[in-house]
Formats: sequence, C-alpha cells, structure tokens
Amino acid sequence: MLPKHYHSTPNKDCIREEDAKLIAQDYKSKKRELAYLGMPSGEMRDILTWKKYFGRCTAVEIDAQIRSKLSLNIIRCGLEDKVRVMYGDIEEILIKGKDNHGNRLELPYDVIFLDFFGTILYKNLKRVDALKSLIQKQKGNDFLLLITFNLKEKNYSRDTLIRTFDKIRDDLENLYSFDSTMKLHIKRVIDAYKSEQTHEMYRQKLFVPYLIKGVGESVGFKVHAYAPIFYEGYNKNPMIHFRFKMLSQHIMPTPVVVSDQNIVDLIDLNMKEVAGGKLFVRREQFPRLGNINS
Amino acid sequence: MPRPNDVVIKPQEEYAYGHIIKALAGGLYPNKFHVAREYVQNGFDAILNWKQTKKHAKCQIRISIQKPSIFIYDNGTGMDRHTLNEYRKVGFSKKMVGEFAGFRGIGKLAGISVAKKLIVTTSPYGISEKYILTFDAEAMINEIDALKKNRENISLNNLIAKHTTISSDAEHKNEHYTMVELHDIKPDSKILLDNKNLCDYLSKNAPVPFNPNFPCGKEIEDDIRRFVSDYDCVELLVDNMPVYKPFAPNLKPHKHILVWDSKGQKQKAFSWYCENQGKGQIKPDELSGFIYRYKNFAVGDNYLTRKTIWGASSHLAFYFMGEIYITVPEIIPTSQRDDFEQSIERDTFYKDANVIANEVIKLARTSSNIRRAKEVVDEGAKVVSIIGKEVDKKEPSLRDLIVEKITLLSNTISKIQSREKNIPPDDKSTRILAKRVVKKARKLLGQISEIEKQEKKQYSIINALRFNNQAKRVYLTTIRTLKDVLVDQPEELEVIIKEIHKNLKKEFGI
Repeated sequence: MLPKHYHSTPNKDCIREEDAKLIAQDYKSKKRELAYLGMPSGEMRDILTWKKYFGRCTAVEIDAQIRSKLSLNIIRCGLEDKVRVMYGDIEEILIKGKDNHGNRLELPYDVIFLDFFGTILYKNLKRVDALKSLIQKQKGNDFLLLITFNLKEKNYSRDTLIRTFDKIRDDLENLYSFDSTMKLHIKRVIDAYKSEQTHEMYRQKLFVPYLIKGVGESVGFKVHAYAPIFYEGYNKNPMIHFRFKMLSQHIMPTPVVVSDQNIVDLIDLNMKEVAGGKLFVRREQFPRLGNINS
Repeated sequence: MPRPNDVVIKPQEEYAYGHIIKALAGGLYPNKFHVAREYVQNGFDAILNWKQTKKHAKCQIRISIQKPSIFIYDNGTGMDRHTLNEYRKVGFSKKMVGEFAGFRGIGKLAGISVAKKLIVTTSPYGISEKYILTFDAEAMINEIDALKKNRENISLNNLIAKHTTISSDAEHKNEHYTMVELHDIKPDSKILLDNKNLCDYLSKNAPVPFNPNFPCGKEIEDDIRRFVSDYDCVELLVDNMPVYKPFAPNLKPHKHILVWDSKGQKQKAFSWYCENQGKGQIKPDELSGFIYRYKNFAVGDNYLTRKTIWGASSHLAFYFMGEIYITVPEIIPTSQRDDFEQSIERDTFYKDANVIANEVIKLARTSSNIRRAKEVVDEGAKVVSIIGKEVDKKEPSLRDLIVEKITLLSNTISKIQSREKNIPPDDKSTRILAKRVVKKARKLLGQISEIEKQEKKQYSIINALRFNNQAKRVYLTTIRTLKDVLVDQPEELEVIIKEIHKNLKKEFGI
C-alpha cells in the first residue's frame, strides 16, 4: 500500500494541467527553461508533469522516508543534475534561504509551488513570515506562485483572519465613504466572510489573495490572482489551490506599486472547482461587491 | 558428559560484542572514497548477477549527491526480504571468492564509517514490494559509548537487532534495483560530497568504460575481452555525468602482453600499455605507470606495480600508461584494495609479471635511442646551418672561435655517426638528413681550416687597432679566460666576443 502522499487523483491531475498552461505561457515569454521551487513529495508528479519547461528544480522535503523515495525517483528518472533536494522545514528554508545542511536556495525561481499542510495561518504566523521572506527574496524577478493547502485543518489563528477581514472592510469603507448603500453592502459581505457558518474555502479565497497582494506590492510586484480552485484531494480532503502571477515592476524607486486588480476584484473573483477531473465555475458563489452596481 | 579438553558452547552465550561496530565505523576506511567504491562494487556484482539472466540488459550505477546524503543506485538484481535481512549480518556473504568483486560481507556496512545512518532500499524483479533496511549507526555508537561508561557491553546481536529495521512498501513488479543511502554524512567525511573528487576517484578505481575520446580505448577493450574472460564494465554516472577511465594525451598505439606461469601453461594476467609519444614520463603523474585490476577494480596505485614487478629502471614504468588484469582466482586483493593478500601465489605472480617490466624497459630504451638519434641529427642540422651562415658571411668573430667551431662540427659528425644506427629504417627523412648534415659539416670543417690558414694575412682586431704588446696580452688573456669559462656555452661566448669587438671598434673610432 502506497502512503497517501504518493497518490495522485484525477482532480489533482486536472489542476496540474491547468497550471501547466500558465507555466507554458511563462516558458514561451521568457524564452528559456524555467527554475522551479516546490514540495513535490516522493513521486514528484509536479516535476515530472512540467519537466519539459524546467532547467533546474529545487525540491524541499522534511520527511526522511519521503526524501529517500524522492531521491530514488530522481535517480530513476535521470534527473540528478536537474533536481536538487533541500532537507528541512519549508518555512525555515524560505526564511533563512538555506536548509540545516548548508544547501542554499538557488534564487530566483520562475515557478514556486507551496503545497502546505493546513492554511497559511497554520503554525501561527511563521508561514506568513516565510511567504513574505520568499517574495522579498524574489524581488526583481517575475514568477508564478502556486499555493495549495488542506482546508480540513482548522487549527490556526482565527483572530488574525478576523482582523484581516476588519481591515479589508475599513479599507473598502474609506474607499466608498460617501456611498452609504455601498458601505452597508460592504458590511454585509465582510460579515458573511467573518461568519463561522461560512465555508472555509470562501474565507481563504479572500484572505490568501489579499495577503499575497499586500506583500507583493510592498516589495515591488504587481500581483495578479487567478480564480482559486476548490477540489477534493486524496481521502476526500477539501483542498484549495491558488495561483498568482507576480510581475516585478522595474521602475526604481518603486514607492507604491498598485496591482491592476483591486480589493473589489479579489472579492469578486470566481470560485472554481475541480470535480471528477473536470474544472468548472462553482454554481454557489459568495456575495460579491461588484453586483451592487449591476 | 564433555571431556576436560572439550570447548563447551552454551546456547545463549555471545561471542561478538558491540565494539565491532565501532571498529567498523572507525578505522577501517582511512580513505573515505573507498566507502563509495565498496557500494559501487556491490552494485556492480548485482548487475553482473542480473546480466546472467538478461545478458543484454542496459544496466547502470547512478550516484547522486544530495547534501547531506549520498545515494548509490544500481538496477541489478535487487534483494528480497530474506537477502536484505542477511545484509544485517556482519561478515556474512554468500558470494564465492573469485566469483564477484566483493565476497567478505564487510564492505556492505562500510557506510557506517562515514554516515550517521545507512538506508538500503531494494526491490527484486517479479515482486510487487520494495524493502527498506535502516541501520542506525549513530544510535548504535551512542549506546555502546553510554554502556562503556558503566563498564558494560552489548552483544552484537542485540545491538543490531535494536538499531536496525526492515520495512516494506509497494513497488512495481518489474522493478529491480538497490539504492543505498549514506544518510547524513559525518563532518569528517564531507569530502565525499564533492562530486568532482568522487568522479575523479571512481574514474580511476571503478570498472567504468574507457573514455570515448581515448583513441585506443575501443581496441584496448576488445583486446581485454579476448584475454580476460570475466572482464566487464558498467555505465556509472555521478549526478548524471558519465564517469570514464582517464587517459593521458599523446600516447602511441597500444600493445599488450600476457603473463604466464613458469611452465607457460596458465595465463595469470593480461596487460595492455601505451607508450608516451613525447619525451620522458607521462604527465600528469597519476596517469602514468601501470595499475593492477581485479574484476576491473583498481588494486593499489601506479607505485604498487613499480614496487612489485620492476627491479631496475623502475622510473621507466612511468613512460607508459597501462593496466594489468589479474586472471587467476588465487590472487585476492586485500580489503583495502591497496595490494593483494600475501600468499605464495601472489609472490610467484609478482616474479612472473617481471616479463611486463622487461618488455617495457626494452621498449623504452629502444624509443629513447631513436628519440636521441633524431635529436642529435636535429641539433647537428642547426649547428651546420648556423656555422654555414657565419662562414658565408665571413663573420670577423669567426677568427677568434675557430677552435670552438671545429670542435662543434667534429662532435656533430661523431655523434651522428654513433647514433645513426638507431634511426628506424622506415624513417627515411631522418636518415637522409643525417647524411646531409655529416656531409655539410665536413665541408664546413674544410672551409674553416682555410680561414685559419689565412688568419694572419687577413683582418684581425689586434692588427686593426694596432695594439701594443701589453694591450695585445690583455686582450688575448681576456679572450682565453672567456673561452675557459664558457667552454660549454659556445653561443654565449660568441655573443660576448662580438660585443667586445663592437665596443672596441666604437671606442677606437674604427
């Protein structure tokens, strides 16, 4: 019996194919092989699916057994000169830029895929710090950021989430300070996000893009968020997959970078879903802000 | 009832204790690269085994360095659970001596001397499982040390049982491989993580193919296969880079020689060698000389062959590059692979192998004579050319150097005449040149003798400057002194005398 993390599913395969389209675009526009950083696990399906686009890969793994499996597959696929393994905790590595054995990140990367266990707020705020550190390290280089995590894990800081939603509400209310109807609508929408009844996927659908946009803009990236994808992973675990195009703004100094998408666009992003190996826009969507004007 | 002299073995009594592991982990491998060789050797044996059933199988040994670990993979037979369990047994091996490269059952645990853990993952063909053996060397040593503080010992059985595990996992039925992970290389063995050094070591020691760029490689390999029945090599890659045997540049075509027993009935070794095309010993030093090979693994270095089969003129060994393949099973390498185990067979072999030394010494001397003959002709050609020009131009300085010029020309003639016999008959251009040089030298000798006769009548610096007797004596003493001092440097002498003449003329306004 293979351990669960070795399994792929039709849903995951479908998402890889969707990601491959974005990777292929970057490969074409950059006119060179891309550099990948990720957590491909033992079977390294991500790398094997996308390998034609990659010139070099860094695979991070903390589990000794999975690492052995990963190394075995690297060797069997003849990818020893393309794939380096870093051994340790992904957050530590992103913050320090190296693992405990002196292996350094080979920055910059073109495709970064963070496949987390639990949300971004899991492990208190260490993961947020790691993301900030990573984006800072990538400064000046366009890249595709892919983030996947399990929605089942509820052990994270709710306060941070609620504070973030309150901040979003305050920002929006300032933006529409003379529009009382809109302000009321904003309150309703944000309250819905804050509600304990709301499905975790919707909370994360707003929180993660807002976080990445803020961090990205602060270090000179225009951030484009694609519609998040909800899917059932192995063992029917609810999963969410985010995709961001991080576009470095080369105008120096860069006092303020403003992405083409604003906060309203993020709130109004569609929620997509992959089920039965097929991608579609979910019939159920969360209340949107743009609707009020239509 | 046992008799008084009988040894009584109690069923539960232990005869081996934990410190054996410390000894294995400590001083058995002073050269850390030998550890990598041990696993390459096991991988090679597994591949040879696999090839017995699938003769034309494409087999490889692949090494991947992923700090802090090293992975050594082979797609040989792989091991089933039972065989992997035997991996834990120290000094246990079912391999026959002479059948495979390894046979002692020690080398498989070599990894514990450089790594904190040894993890062996293996899958045999036809079984949908892979097996993983973890040998936690660090934990073993910690336990031995902790017990030692209380004067306690742990039996080897208990120690190994406690700190090793075997687990299984699913695998494709058709897979067959073994991967050894030297997990977390110890600080004193970090040199193993340098793939350049590792490649360099393996290129010289492992049974890898000849470099495709080595012009003689293919022909040499064909010869080896003809005379060494158990010869084989394996594709070995370190971080996806193929490793080949190194070769020196500028070598003559290869030759080979067989070593027989004193009765001429049994072949003991096969040797191929290439001589340096250039002068002297082959550079770099490490590629010169002969290397013993057992099952295509190197035994010792180029000094071992020099020491064991060369009597006199051992330096001539380094004018060649070659290998000596042992073809008899009685001659067995030491576990360090730095020599062969001392035995009558080994000592007799070293004597029999003198035939290699004798052959190449003869060849080296012949080559040296040919080379020297050519050099003498070339040097002679230069001498006659320079003196010929001086004679044609009637150089004034020639008058003061007549004796030197005559000596030079006479030496040239005698040197060429004494070396001419060493020029190979097929080297017509050198033979013709030698004759021309001698002829020209003789002609120049005649011309110079004429000049000497006319010297008094013709131009002389002493006459031109009207030196009085004292000045004449000073001048002649100076020239004589210079000639004495620079007797071996006629060109220097000539330059100085010309310079003196030039300055004297300038000084006296001529």
